[in-house]
Amino acid sequence: MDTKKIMECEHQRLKKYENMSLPAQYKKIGIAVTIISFIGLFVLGYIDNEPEILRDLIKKSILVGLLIISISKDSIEDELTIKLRGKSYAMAFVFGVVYALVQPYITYFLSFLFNKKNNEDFLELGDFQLLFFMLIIQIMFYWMLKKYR
Amino acid sequence: MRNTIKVQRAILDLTQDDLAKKIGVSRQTINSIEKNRYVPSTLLALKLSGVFKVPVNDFFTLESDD
Repeated sequence: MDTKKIMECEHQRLKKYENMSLPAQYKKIGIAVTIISFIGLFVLGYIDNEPEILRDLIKKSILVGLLIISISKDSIEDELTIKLRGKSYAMAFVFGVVYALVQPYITYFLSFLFNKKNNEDFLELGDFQLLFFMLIIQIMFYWMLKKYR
Repeated sequence: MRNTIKVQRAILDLTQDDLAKKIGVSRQTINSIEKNRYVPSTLLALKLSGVFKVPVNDFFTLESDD
């Protein structure tokens, strides 16, 4: 097969992932999913002996809701909003890495501060918190960059 | 880079919103370009040129520190 054709084929395949986004209407769905999931998590706090899987599912639905908000287009999407969106993802990535590096020390400090004998509550800060943090940072930075453009 | 988009807009009696709709961007993007906060792409500059009916060099100027 011709090298140029192979490269063109690969280029076309990659182009599909460049504009990975949802229509603007999905933003409302994302907000609804996130809010409902938060309410569910809040209600779960008052229920005794709830199955662990339910808590995990609600946490994942929070992440899904935030992801939908994150990748939904604006009502008017132009080159400036695309550029700002890229910047917000870059910032979220950097802040996420820094948070992952610093977080164990914060965990230790908090467990020391609250004198927790059982540190499981603070040690349970895994992938959910990091992903939640990164998504919130991205959404927040994107909103701020748009506001002050 | 400096630009005289506001002047060109005034010549054609267009609001920022009118100009934004003509070239397919948001009003805030036009505002950012006019305030030199955002440098548009070549495509957008050429679209502006098409609306204003003047060359790109007539309303975009390089500054000494560019």
